[in-house]
Amino acid sequence: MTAAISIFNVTKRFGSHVALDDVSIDVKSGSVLGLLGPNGAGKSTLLKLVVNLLRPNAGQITILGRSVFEGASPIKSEIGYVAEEPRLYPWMTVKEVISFTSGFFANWDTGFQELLRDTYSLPMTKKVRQLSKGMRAKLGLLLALSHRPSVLILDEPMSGLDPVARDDFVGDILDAIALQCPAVILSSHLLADVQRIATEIAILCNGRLLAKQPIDKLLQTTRRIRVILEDGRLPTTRPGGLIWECLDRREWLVTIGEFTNQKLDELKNCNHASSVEILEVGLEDLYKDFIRGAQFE
Amino acid sequence: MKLLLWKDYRLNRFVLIIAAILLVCPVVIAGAGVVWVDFPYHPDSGDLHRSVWIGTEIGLGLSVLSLCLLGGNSFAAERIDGSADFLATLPPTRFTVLSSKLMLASLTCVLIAAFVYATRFAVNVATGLSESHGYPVNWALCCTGFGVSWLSSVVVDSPTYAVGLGLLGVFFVPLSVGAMRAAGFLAISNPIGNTVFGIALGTSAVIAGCMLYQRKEKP
Repeated sequence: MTAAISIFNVTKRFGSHVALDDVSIDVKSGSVLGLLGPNGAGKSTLLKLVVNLLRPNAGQITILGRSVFEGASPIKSEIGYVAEEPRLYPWMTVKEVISFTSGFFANWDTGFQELLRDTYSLPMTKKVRQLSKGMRAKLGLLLALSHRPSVLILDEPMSGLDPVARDDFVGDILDAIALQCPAVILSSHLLADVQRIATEIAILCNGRLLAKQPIDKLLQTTRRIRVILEDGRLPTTRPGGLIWECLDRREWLVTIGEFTNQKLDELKNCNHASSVEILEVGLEDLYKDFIRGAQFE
Repeated sequence: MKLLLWKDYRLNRFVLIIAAILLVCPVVIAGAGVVWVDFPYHPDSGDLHRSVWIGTEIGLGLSVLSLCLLGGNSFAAERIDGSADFLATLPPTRFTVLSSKLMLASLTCVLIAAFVYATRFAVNVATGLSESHGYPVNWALCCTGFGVSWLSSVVVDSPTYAVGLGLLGVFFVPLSVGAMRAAGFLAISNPIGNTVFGIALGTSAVIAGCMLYQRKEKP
């Protein structure tokens, strides 16, 4: 299957600061990519490049095989975008924003829009500036979904929402994905929500792509191992696929990707280990290890 | 285009109301003043004619401010509340966005001109006089004010700064023409110099603003 979103060797600089460094990601139709990374990792920059709010210094981004940087108008009708805080016209009423936005899309589905409007209980006569953050996020989602886009870009849409609103919102996103099967990129700091929605994750740090894998595979093949060293000195040989390591007196914690029993044996044999134990880790721990490992480099 | 025009009208509705007040009030005050002074007798037709003409000229002079407000609001107002980013994610191209804003400005200019000329025509007919009390330089300064604030609005994020720069541009025209005449670089009269320089500066600022907006990374 060809990728619905293809980000190929994209580099973006702001002056001397490299926000994205040669990043390549593909997202297939029907799959949901969770984009993770600390603040300033380049997540929002990458998503702004995908929706053509910024232009890259190098590289190419295509949606359904068409470049987003040339003849942008037809491509934009295939994209639904929800920003961290949807910056809609604050002086328009909800009805006016919907009517204004719908006029630009030939593929606008009024029936679906009305369904979403009723589901989200949006107050049509209220001005956008009078809406709560949760309502504004839902309105943003309605505007992004009602033209039934092939590609959905969600840039931290749940940030700042209270737990109940966040839970509702995640449910809304899941419903929308189930109904339409678009290719989705979801950027978020909320790992539990990402794990609920995404099928695969990509981790960005300092503008570099550290990992991109299906979540299940990542959890299955990445292991954190606690090794108690006999002499408390870091071994000279490290296992392959090392993501992060930490030595605290005799306890050596190692996180390894593409884990195999052979790697475990290597650890046992080569490093004067008195004990080796595989620890259960979740997505949050793995994410932290990736980031710590990258920052240590 | 119709939607964008509606959006630009709504965004600038307050400015357009101010523009209408600044344009109409001087004419009404001038006309009413002559009637008030001569009451209970009919006003002298020459006084009425002169007053209304000067009223339209003052209205036109104040329209410089209105057009600076309109130009300064063009891009910066949407950038300051972030709605420019929202618009940039929608299908209309930058050229269409630009065209809508220019169309609103053109319509405003046409309405200002229509009011001024209709009023002058009406007072000419009513008084039977036809001599001119107008100064073409006001049109040129309207063009300068709009152009410079339009260009500034593309560059700066604050509508207030953009309007301020537009007004500075308006003052720059007579000052520079005066300076050039004093230095001997210009041999034409002040009104002609101001008119030509004002129109040239305003037009080039509008064109530069359009080109810059098309090439700018952030909308």
